[in-house]
Amino acid sequence: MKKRNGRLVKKSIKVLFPRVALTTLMNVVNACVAFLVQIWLLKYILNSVGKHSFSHILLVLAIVFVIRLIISSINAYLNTTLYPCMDNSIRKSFQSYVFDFTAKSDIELYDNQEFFDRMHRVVFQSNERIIGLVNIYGNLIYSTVSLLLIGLYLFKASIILLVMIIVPVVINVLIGRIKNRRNYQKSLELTGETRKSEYFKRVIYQKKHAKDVRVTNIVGVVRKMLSGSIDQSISITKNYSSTNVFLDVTKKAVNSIAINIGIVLYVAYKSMVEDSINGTDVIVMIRAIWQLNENSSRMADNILQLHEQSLYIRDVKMFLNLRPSINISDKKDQKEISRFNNDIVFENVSFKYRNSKENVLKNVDLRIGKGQKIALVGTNGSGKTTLVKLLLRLYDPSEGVIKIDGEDIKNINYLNYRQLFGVELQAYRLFAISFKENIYIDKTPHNEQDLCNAIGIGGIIQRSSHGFETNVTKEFDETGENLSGGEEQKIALARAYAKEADIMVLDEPSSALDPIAENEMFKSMMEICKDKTLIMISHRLSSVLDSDCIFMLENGEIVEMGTHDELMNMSGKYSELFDVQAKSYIEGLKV
Amino acid sequence: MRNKDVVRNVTQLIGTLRRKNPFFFWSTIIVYALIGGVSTYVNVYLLMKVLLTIERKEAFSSLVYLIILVVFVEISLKLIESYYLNRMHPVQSLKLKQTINNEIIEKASTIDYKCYDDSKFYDDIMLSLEKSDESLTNSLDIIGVYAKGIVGIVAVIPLFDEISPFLLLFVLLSVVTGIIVQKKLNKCYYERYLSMVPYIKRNSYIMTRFAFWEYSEELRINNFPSVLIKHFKNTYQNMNKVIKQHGRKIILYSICKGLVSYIVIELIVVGYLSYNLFVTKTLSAAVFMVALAAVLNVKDYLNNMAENYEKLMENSLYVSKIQSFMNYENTVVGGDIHPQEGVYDIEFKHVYFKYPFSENYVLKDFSLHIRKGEKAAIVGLNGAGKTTIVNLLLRLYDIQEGVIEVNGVDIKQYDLDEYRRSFGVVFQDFNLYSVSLEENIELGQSEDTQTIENALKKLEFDLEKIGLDSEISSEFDDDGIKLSGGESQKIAIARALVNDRGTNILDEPSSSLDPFMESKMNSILCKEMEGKTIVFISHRLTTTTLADRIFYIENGSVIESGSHKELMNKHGMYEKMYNIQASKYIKKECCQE
Repeated sequence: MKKRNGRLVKKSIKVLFPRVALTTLMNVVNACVAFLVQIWLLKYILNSVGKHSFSHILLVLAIVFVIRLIISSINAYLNTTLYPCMDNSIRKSFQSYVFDFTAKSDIELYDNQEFFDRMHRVVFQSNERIIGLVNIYGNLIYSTVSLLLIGLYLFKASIILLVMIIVPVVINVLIGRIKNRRNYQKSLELTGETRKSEYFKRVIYQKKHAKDVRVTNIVGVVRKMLSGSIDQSISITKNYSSTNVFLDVTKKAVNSIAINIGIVLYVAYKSMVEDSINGTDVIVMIRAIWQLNENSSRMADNILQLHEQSLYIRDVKMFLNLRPSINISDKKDQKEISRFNNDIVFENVSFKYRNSKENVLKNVDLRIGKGQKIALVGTNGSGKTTLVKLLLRLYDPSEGVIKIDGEDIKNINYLNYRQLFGVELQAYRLFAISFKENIYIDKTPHNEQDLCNAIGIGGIIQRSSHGFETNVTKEFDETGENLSGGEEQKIALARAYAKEADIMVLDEPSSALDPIAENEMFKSMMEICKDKTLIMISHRLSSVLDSDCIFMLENGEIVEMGTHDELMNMSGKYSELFDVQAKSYIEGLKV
Repeated sequence: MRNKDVVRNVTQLIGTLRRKNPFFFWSTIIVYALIGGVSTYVNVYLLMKVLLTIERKEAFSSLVYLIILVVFVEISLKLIESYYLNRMHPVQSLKLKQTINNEIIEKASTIDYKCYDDSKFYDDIMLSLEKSDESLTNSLDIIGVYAKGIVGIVAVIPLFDEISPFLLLFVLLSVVTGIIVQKKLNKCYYERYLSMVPYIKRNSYIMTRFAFWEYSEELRINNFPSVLIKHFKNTYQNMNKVIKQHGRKIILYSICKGLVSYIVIELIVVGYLSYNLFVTKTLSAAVFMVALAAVLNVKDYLNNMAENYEKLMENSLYVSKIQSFMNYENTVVGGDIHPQEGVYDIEFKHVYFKYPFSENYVLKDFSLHIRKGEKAAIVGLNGAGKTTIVNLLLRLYDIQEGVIEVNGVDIKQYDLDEYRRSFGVVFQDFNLYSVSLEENIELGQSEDTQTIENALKKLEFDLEKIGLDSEISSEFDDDGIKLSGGESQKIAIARALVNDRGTNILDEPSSSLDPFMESKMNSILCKEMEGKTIVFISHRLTTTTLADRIFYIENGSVIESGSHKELMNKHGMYEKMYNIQASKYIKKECCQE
C-alpha cells in the first residue's frame, strides 16, 4: 500500500511542483510590488515634500510604473495561458489516476453508500479541489508577505504592534474554525434535502418521466415532497443562523478593536503626546493599517479555506488508500493463463451480497467442460446472473472455490484472466466512442467482414457516415449514429465475439429483439460459437434446447441439470417451467 | 445581445424579483445600500477626520472618541450584514425558490409532450429552468452590488467637490476605457470557451462513465478504462492547444487592461495629487492620503459593478427563458366534455401521423376499432408503431389527419387532464420514484391501503420483505430499497390494478418477468380486468392468445386483424411470427409425446 501511495505522491510532485513553485514565486513578487506602490511610494512622496522637486517625483513615478508594467505583463501571461495549461496537465494526470483506480476497485464496494458517495466526490470534485488548494496557497503567500512587509517596514519590529497584528489573525482563525465546522455540518444536513429537491425537480424536467406526469397525478407527490424539503432546509438554516451571526460579529469586534484601538490609537499617541514619531509617518501608517486590517482578515480567511479544503482532501486520501482484492497486478506468484484447455469447476460455492441477509448462491457445484454449450435457467432472482458474475470475478465467492483448468481463479492475474471471456452482460453498455472502439476496444480490428456477416451488423455499419470509425450516438458528433435497442444489443454481441476469447458468456442476449430477429440471432450464435465454450442465460427456454447441459437454478441452488430431453423426462422443475411456456404456444396452434 | 434587449431583460428581471418576493428584493437593496454608504463614511470621512486630528495636533481625547465611533460603526454594520447573509438571504432565497418552482411545475407538467422532442426548445429552455431559482437569487445579489456601489460613490462626491472634481473625471476615464478593454477580452474568452465546449462535454461524459455504477461491470470486464482514459488525455491536450491558440490576443488585452488602470491611478492621479502637494501646495499630507483612498474606493465600486455586468446579463437571460417558457402556448389542448369514467369504445379512423421533426409517417391511413370491453392485442415487429398508438390514444401527440374517437366523441373534445387520467396505463419504460412503496402505487391519488395490499398480494409481491412504507430507491441512490426487475414490474402492474380504470393500456407488461410469473401475470390481469377494455402491446405472442382480437401492424397499417384462431387460419404474417416462436417448443413437445 505504501508503495502505491508513494507512486502517487511522486507523480503528484512531478506534476504539481512547477505550478506550486511558480505560484509561490509570483505571489512573493506581487506582494512586493503592491507594497512598493501602495506603501513605500506614498511614504517616499510625503517625506519628500520640501526635500525633492516635483520632477524628481515624476521620475520615481515613471520608474515604479515601468516595474509595475513588466510584472503585470508576466502575470497576464501566467493567468491567462500558462496556469490554465498547467492546471489541465494536473487534471489530466491526477484524474486519469483516479479513473484507473476507480475501475480497479472492487465492485462489491459500490453497495456501500459511504464508499459510493466518496467515490463520486473524488471523481467529480477532487480535481478542482486540488487546483483550488494551489490557488488558496498562493493567496496565503501573498497575504502573509504583505503583512510581513508592512509590519517590518513601518513598525520596525515594535513588539506591541506586531502582537496587535498577529493576535486578531489567530483569534479569527480559531473562531473561523468553529464556523467552518458548523458550516460543514450544515452542508451535510442540507445535502440530503438538496439532493431530494433536485431529484424531484428532475422528475418534472426529464423526458422519461413526462408520460407519468401527464397520465398520473405524480405532480401532486412532487409538489408535496419539494415544499417539504424546502421547509426542512429553511428550518436547518434557521438553526444555524444566530450562532453564525454571533461568531461573525465577534470576529469583526476583535479585529476592529485590535486594529483601531490597539494600533491606531497607539501610534497616534506616540506621535501626538510623546512626539516620538513624525506626523507624516503616522499618516502613512494609519493608511497602511486600514489596509492591514484587510490583509490580516484575508490571511485568516486563507488559512481557514485551507483547513476547509483539507477536509475534502482527506476524502481523496481515504479513497486512494483502499486496496482492491480482485484486480491486483503487483501480487507475487500470480499465475498467468493464456488458453482455456480443460474445464471450469465450481466447488461448493456460496455467495452473499454485502447488504443482503441471505445467500444468493448456496453450495453450488458444477462443471463446464471445454467446448460445451451450457445454459443457466431459472425464475427471477434464482441466482443465474450472480453465478456468471462470480465466474467473471466481478465478485469473489463468500465460500468455496472456482477453478479453471484446476487452478483457483483467485490465483490468476485478473487482467490475464478476463482475456479468456467474451462477454455480453445483461446490462451491457455502449459508449459514445466509435463503433470500432466499442467493438474491438483496445485491439486492432482484423476480421470486420466476418463479424458483420456473423452478427448481422453490416447494415448498421454501412448506413453510418464513417463506417467503423463512426461514433455511436450523436452526443458529441453530428455525424454519429443513433441506434435502436435491438441494434445496440447486436453491437454488444459483436463486442463479445470480436474478443475471440475461448469462452463466450451471454446473459439474456435477445431481450431487446423481436421474435424474428431473435431467431436469426440464435442461429448465427450457434455458428459463431461452434468451437467455443458457451455459457448462456435465458428466460426463453426455446433458445436453450440444444444446449449440451442445462442447469436449472432455484433460490440459489442448482436443482436439476442435464440435456433438455433428460430434464423433460425427469418431470421436475425444468419440465414444469418449459410446459408453462410451451402450453400457451401449443394451445395457440390447436386451431 | 443588443442594448434594447439588455434593457428589456433587466427590467423583466427586476420586475420578476419584485413581484415574486418583494420583501427579499427591498431588504437586499436596503442592506447593500446601507453597507455602501456606511463603508464610504468610515473609509473616507472618518479616516479624514482621524488624519486631520493627528495632523493638526488637536486634543488626543477627541481622537479617542473618533476611534471609538469607528469601532462602534464597524461592529454594528457587521451585525446587520451578517444577519442578512446568515439568516435573511438563505431563508428568503429558499422561499423564492419555492414560489418559482411551483409556477414552473404547474406549467411543465402540462406543456405539450412534443416539447421534449424539440431538442432546441428542450436543451435551451427546459434544462435551463433547473437553474432558474439560482439565477434569480444571483441576480438579486448583483443588484445588491449595484445598490452598494451607487450609494458608495454618491456618498464620496461631496469630498471630490471639495478637493478637486478632476479626480472623479480621472476615475471615470479609467473605468470607461477599462470596460472597453474588458469587453474585448470577454469576447476573446468567449471564443476560447466556445472552442473548448466540445472537449469539456466529452470529458464530463467520460467522468460520469467512471462514476456511475451502471458502467461499473462493463469497465471491469473489458479494457474500456484504457480506451476512455486515452480519449480523456487527448481531450486535455486539445484543450491546451486551444488555450495556446487564443493566447496571444488574450494576453495582449489583459496587459492593456492593467495598463489603463495603472496609468490613470498610479501615474495621473498620484502625479496630480503630488503636483498639488509640491507645486501649488493646496493639499496637506492628510488630505493627499484621503483623496487617494477615496479614488481607490470609487474605483473598486465601479470595477465591481463592471465585473458583475456580464453576470447580470447572463442571469437576466435565464429570466427571459423562464418567460418564454411560461408564455409557450400548448397546441394539444382539451375541450370541455368530461369523459364518462369507464369502459371505452376506441376507434382510429384513417389516421395519419408523423412525429415532430421527422419526415416519415409512422401511421398511414391507419384505422382500428376496439370495442367496449374488448381485450385487444397489438402486435408487430420492432419499430412497427405499436407504442405510437398508445402515445396517440393518450393524446401525448395530436394526429395530422383523421380522427380518434372514444365512445363516439373526438378525443380532442375531452378535458385533457381528466381524459388522460381516465386510463390505467403500464408503460414499457415505467419509472419507480424515490418515495414509499405505497406512494409509488398511488402516484398522487389516495387509495385505500387494503386495496393496495390486496393487489400486491395477488401479484405475489413479497410484502413481508418489503412493506408498504418502505422507501424505494431509484436513480438518486440513497438508503432506499433496490428492487429487482421483476419486483419493479409488479409495482407497475399493481398501479393499474389499484387504479381500477375502465380502460387499461398495457405496453409490454411482462417483459422482464420469468415464464412462470409471466403466465401468472397474464391470467391475473385477464381475471381482474374482466369486462374492461384492455389494449395489450406485446411482441411475445403467448400473451396475445388471451386477447379477443389481435391487430398485426406493419409499416404503420393494420395488416391483419381477428382472433388468434382466425389469424392462424389466415396463414399470414401473424402465423409466421407465431410459428417461429412456437416451433421449438412444438418440435420438442412432439418428440416427447
